[in-house]
Amino acid sequence: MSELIWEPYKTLLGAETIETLFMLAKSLKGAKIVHVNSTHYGGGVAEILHKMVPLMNGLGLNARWEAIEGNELFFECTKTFHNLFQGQKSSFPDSSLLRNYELENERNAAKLAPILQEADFVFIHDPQPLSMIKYLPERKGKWIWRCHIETSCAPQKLWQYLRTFINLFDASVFSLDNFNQALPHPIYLIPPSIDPLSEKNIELSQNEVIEKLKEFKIDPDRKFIAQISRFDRFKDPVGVIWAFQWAKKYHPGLQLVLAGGSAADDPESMAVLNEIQALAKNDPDIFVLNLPPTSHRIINALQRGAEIILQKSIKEGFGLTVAEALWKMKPVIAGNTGGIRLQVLDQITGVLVNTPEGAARQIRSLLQMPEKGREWGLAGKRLVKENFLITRHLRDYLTLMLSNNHTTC
Amino acid sequence: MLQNEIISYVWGMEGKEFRIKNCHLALIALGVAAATLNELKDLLQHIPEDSLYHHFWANRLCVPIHEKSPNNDFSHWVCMTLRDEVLAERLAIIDPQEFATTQDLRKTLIETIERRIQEGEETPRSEKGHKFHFLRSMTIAYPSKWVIAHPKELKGLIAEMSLSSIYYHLIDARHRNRIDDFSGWLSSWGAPFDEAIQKIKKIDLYFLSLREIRKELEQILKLSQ
Repeated sequence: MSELIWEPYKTLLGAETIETLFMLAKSLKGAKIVHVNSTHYGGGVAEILHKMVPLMNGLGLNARWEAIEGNELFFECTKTFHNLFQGQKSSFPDSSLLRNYELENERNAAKLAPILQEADFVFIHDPQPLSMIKYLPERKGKWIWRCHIETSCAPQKLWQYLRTFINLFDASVFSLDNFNQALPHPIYLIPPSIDPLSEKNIELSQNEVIEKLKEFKIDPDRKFIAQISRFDRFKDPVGVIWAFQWAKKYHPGLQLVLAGGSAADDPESMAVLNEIQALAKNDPDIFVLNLPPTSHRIINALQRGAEIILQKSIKEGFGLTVAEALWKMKPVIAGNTGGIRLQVLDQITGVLVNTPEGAARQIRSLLQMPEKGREWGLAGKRLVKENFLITRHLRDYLTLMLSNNHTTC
Repeated sequence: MLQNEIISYVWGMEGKEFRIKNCHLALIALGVAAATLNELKDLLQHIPEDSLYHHFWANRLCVPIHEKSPNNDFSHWVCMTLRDEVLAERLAIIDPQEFATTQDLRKTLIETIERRIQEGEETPRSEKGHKFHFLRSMTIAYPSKWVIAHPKELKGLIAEMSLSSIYYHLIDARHRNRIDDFSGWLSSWGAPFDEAIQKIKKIDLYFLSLREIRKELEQILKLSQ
C-alpha cells in the first residue's frame, strides 16, 4: 500500500502529525499484523478496521483483516456475551451453546492458521473470535485481545468463562479503565476513533445534505434532531421518542430522525426496530430509517442536517456516533455512560443525561439557546481532533506494538 | 525517586547537539480500583511506584481540552467524584518533589486520607462507573524534527515545541537523570548560561501546567545570552 494514502491526512491534519506516525512505524517496518473480528460490515469495529488496515500498510507495515464465520447458534451465544457484558439480565449460555461457540472458533482457527501462526501481532477483536487462541498453540507472535465493549457490569461467571481464553493472550486493550479485572498481562487503554476522511465524516455541501433529507421526506425547512445508531435497546430509542414528543410541545414543527441498521452479528436488532416503528407510526414527524450498512454518506448528511444529535445510550462501549457528531460541530445530548463520558464533557462539548426527562429538557433548552450549541460544537470538534481521530488511534497501536517488542515489557 | 518506563528509539544527546524528542504514553490499567476513601487508602499501600508516578506526573499528558488543574489524579478524583473538597485540597498540595523517597510520598498520601476518614464525616462511595482506576504508563520517545546545535537556536523554538517535548525534556528528564535536559545541555556551554540554568531549575514543574511551563521556559531563554 502506497504512502500516498496519507496525503489527504497531511492536508487536513498537518504534516507533523503524519511524520510522527512514520517515525514510530520505522522500527516495525514489514511487521505482519492480522486483525480478526466477526464481520466486515456493520458496527464500529468494522468501520475502524476498514481504514486502519490500509493506513497501517501505508506506514510500511504488512497488515491484513480477517472476519470469522459462525452459524446462527454461534452469534446467538456471542450476542448473549455482549448483553451480559453490558449488564442485561440474560441467562448465561448453556453448555451446548458454549460448545458450539468453541467448535466454531476451532474451525475458524484451523482455516486461518497459516496466516495467524506466522503473524508478528494478532489483534482479536471482542469476544466472538476470542477462543480461537486456544486452538493455535504454535503461534509465533504477540496476541492481543481488543475489547470494544463496556465491561464494568459483566457478571463474574462470564469473566470466569472468558478468562480461560483471555489469560492466554500477551496483552489486552480496553477503551476505558472501568473494569475490575486484573489480568496476567498488561491491559492497555486505547479509545477507538473516527476517520475524518471517510464517507461518513467528510465535508458535504449544503445541497447534498438537503437532497438526502428530501429522499427520506424529511422537511429541510424545519429543524430536526437525530439519533443515529444501531437498533439496540441499550441505545434507548424508546426514551428518545418520549423526549422528542415532550420537547415538541414547546417546539411544534420539530422532527425526529432515528436512523440505524443492524450488524451481521446482532440478531436482536430487527425486534427493536419493529418496536420503534410501532411507537412512531402515528407521529408523522418521526422518521425511522433502517439503513443498510454501507449508508455512510446518508448518515453523514443526516448528522450534518440535524440541529442536535442524541446518543441517549444506557450502556455504551465508546459511542463512535458521538465523535462523528462532535467532528461535525453538532451539540450532543448523550447518555451518561461508558466512553461517551470521554467525549461529551458536560456543558463543554455537550451535555450528559441519565433519563428521557433529562434529554427532553436539554432538547428544549438547546433549541431555545442555539448559541450554546454552537459553542459546544466548536469545543467538541477540537476535542475530537486532538483525541479521537484515527491518527491518534494508530499512534496508540504503534506504541503498544513497540512496547511489546521491547524486552523490558 | 519516582520513575517511569521509557522506551527510546533514538539516540539522545550526542556531542554538543541537543536532539529534541517528542513522546507518547501507552496507558496500562492495573485492574484495581477504589470506590471509597478506605479502598483508596488500602490500595495505595501496595500499588507499584510507576503507578504513583503516573498519577502525579505522567497524567498531565492525558488532560482533556479544558485542562484540569494540574494536580495529582487523587485530589482530582476526590474533588470531582467524591465531592470532598476538603480532602481534595489537602491532597492537591502534596508536592512529590518534596519527598526523598517514594515510600515517604506514599506514607503522606495514606496519612492524609486516614486523617480525613477519622474526622468522622460521612465517607461517600463513588457512583458506579466513577471509581478511581489505578494506571501506569510507558513512555515511548521518538525524535522531533529539531536538532539544536547552539543555545541561541533554542530561543525561538520553545514556543513551537510540543507539550510532550516539554514533558519529556523537563519533567521526565529530572526523574531519569536528576536534572532536566535543558539545564544539562546548557551547562556544557559554560558560564554564560549559568543564570538561565538556575532559573530553569526553579521552574515549578508540579504546580504549573505544561503550557505554563513552556511559557516560562520561553521567557527564561529569551532573556538569556
